[in-house]
Amino acid sequence: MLTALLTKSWRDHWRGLASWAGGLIAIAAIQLWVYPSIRQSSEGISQMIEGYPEVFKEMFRMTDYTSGPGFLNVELFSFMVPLILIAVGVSWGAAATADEEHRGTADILLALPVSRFSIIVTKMIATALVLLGLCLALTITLIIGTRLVDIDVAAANLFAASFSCALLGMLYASLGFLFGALVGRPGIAMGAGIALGLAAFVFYSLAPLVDTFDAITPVNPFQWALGNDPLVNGLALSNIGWLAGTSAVVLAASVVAFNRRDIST
Amino acid sequence: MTLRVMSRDVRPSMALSGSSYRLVMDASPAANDVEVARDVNASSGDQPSISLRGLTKYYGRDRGVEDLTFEVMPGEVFGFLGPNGAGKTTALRMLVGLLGITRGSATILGTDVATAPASLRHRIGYLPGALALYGNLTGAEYLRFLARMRGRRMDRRIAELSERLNLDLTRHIHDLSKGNQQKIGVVQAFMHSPEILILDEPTAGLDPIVQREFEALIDEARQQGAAILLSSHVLSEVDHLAGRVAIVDGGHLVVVEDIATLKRRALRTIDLDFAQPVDAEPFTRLPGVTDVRSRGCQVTCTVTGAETDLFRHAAGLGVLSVRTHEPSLDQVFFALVRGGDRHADRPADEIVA
Repeated sequence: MLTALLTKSWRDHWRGLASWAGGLIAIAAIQLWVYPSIRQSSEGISQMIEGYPEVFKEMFRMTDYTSGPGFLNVELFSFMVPLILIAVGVSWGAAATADEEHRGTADILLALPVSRFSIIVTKMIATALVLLGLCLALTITLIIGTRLVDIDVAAANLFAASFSCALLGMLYASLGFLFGALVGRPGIAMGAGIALGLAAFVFYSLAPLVDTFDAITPVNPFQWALGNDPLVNGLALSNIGWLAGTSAVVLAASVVAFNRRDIST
Repeated sequence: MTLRVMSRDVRPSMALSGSSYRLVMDASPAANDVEVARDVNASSGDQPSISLRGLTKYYGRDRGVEDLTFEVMPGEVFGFLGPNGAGKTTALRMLVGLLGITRGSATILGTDVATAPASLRHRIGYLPGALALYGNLTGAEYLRFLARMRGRRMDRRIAELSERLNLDLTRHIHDLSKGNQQKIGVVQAFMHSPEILILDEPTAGLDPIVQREFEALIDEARQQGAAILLSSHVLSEVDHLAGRVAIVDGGHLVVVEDIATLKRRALRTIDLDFAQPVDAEPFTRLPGVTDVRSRGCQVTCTVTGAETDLFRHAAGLGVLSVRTHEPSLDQVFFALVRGGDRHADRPADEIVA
């Protein structure tokens, strides 16, 4: 690992990171803030949701919207948090090598007496730590917030849900790394990663309604991250294994691709 | 005139390369022998610092380089010349490991670059042709970052080089002019005092004063035994720096030659002004004189070798003034690459001879 490069990656992006972290914390805080009024009028809301189209309820898994964990699942973990962490992961992965190449800064960086392996692995570590940091910021916000508004969720489960989303982000980050190392164009790598993330999200959301989507759910990363309902059930080792294992395979492929790549001018 | 396939100090393997160039050399074989002998003496006992053997890279459509073979010795400044798009950058980027090698090989300090560990690059300074730095950093931050990546502090050397090049390190790189960014590029190439310098169009954007300082840096590195490979598309740029040059065109090596020999052999364009119009025809019969054109009171021609006969004839006609143009790289090409195809694309009516 190259400390100089690690600190440089964070320093270069601290503004972006601060706004992602601020956004995550703000979204969590606002949802927690409105939760007491949801709970108060839970009967009315339950009736209202009862009247929603079945499709809508299944898509957003709104079965127990007014319970604390149910509310957090619908408002945070079914949509916002995973997609934010995927966006952060993909953009870091896609930019890691491809942005250096696209801007031309790779010419001097890769002519330094450090291997391409060290460079890309350092950037992977930087990305993983960024996602972990966002996960911890969110977890802490949720631990404090749930205590304040009296939601009964174990701190471990709040971490489990955040961490699952961070791992999901890392899986898509690894795809960003792979596409970046294969094509050397950050825009294309980012677009491809985001497109795959959204596709998996749509498949996962519509799985209760569309049989063909449901058929692939077992290999859908969203299922690995959220299918076990970590907010209620905590971390499931097999799901974590699938997310981490797939990420590791894709990251290894990225290293190979980057090592072989002809750096374009 | 003698027609040979390749210049003498090119390895035999080059002569067998796929290159279709036919070279016309007009220097006497004896003079050439002297040059070759001197080169051999200079390098006796030394291993080449940089060695390319049939180095080939294909990529894209019709891009890349084919069968480049030459060596750069310790303490030698070696010019790498060719028009834009000739493949100079491709070759240099293979040497520093940015591009893979399709065929052939290249060694630096005896190590094959294809399998070299990253640590070999401790001994290499590289200045890319299309320089791109981290604009959000100041010059000092950027150079310190590179020094840390190289694993040691180089503060004093960085300060010394920056002062010599008159470079302000406190400003953000995106606020610097092209020339000042180029200075940072020069500093990062030299700051670890490498044994190998690979410089791609290093003087681009540098003003003449800084260029002189840059030449002094090159000279110091050379005296300390560094091997310097310097690319350019302008002959005059490497003229007073390099001992030998390799010329590439269209991805092929055209010649590897001592620069003095090359220039002697080059066509020079000469303008002769007379008081009244003169008959251009007799000029065409002078030895070494070609491309005679006349317009009004002026006769323009190109000369290879000695100019004595030309001046004698012109003096007899009462020449008023003579202007000699330094050979441009193009003209060197014409001198070397006269396979006939080069002249074919020039308008016939321009050529009297």
